[in-house]
Amino acid sequence: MSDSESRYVLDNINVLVLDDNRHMRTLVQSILHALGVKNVCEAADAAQAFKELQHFQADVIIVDWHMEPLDGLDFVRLVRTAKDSPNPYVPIIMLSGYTEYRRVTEARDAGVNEFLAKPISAKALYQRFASIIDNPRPFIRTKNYFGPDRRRQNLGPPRGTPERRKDAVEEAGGAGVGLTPDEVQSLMKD
Amino acid sequence: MADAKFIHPPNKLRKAKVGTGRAKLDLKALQKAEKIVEKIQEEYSDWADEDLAAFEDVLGTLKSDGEEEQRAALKALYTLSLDMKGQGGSFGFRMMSEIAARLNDFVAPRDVLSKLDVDVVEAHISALHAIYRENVRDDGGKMGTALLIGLDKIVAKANARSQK
Repeated sequence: MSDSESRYVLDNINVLVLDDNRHMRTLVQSILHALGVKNVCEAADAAQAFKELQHFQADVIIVDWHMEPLDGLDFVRLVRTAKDSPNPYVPIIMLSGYTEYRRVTEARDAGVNEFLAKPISAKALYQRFASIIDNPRPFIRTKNYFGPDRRRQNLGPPRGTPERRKDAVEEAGGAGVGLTPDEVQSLMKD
Repeated sequence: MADAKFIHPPNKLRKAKVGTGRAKLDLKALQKAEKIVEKIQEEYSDWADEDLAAFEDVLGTLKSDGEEEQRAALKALYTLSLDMKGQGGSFGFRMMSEIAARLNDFVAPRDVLSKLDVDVVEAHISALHAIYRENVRDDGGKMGTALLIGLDKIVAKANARSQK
């Protein structure tokens, strides 16, 4: 099959939507159904969502940031690092009204795959799905981080001298190297 | 060398694509999704009524109640404005997102509100009512621009006052 014939098929993937705002849950679920996703599980808080994950095998999680008592980042860290997390590798798209650069990097450093600033559009959400499907990332475990490789390109394991490998690994998973403004924009654009 | 490990988990989303290479977005599915969003926008008017009523409740508390109630109201205002910032434009009311974003930026760094600050909050809430009542769906044109400039001016005044 040529590149021109490849297409996305979303009808057999499971998506968990976590947002404490029911209007946003309705919107996101409706967009997902229209795009072909048949299996959507909703949750209104992080604790409920984590319980749902024990029996709903989510292939993608869409999570809002601003919630209480656990916020979206708390939930992401639970999924990534809790001993009883059923799938720490699940791709996670974070939706948020937060748009500041530091927020995007904070989400990235918690282990989010993609960030989508609200207000959202059907096209922007679809593009985030396409990005996750087209660019599966290896995961990195360091002392301070567990999550998807934070470099936008998949460069594979670092090569070269020990110092160069250490720098590259730190960039992929360690603290200290942030996204460039262009990378932040590419994470957020429609 | 950093103590780090690369892990290659199984790609469970392989089933979400047929064929190899980069796929194009299914435009029909996207059009369907966008039509659904338009339909939901019609329901948004009920939801916006609820949210605007919640803003009024919070404003009432900020104007009259004790310090503890005001702190709780300020926290509620932060959440309401952040939610509306995210929702408004998602449902076709771009100006509501813009105004709510400004309101959220205004209250975010504040633990308490002066009387002038409360006036600024009230101005933003009044603007939200006006935009919604007039069903302003896009950037509001000249009126929208003038409204945002007006809000920015009173915010600047309040910020300058609070720094003294």
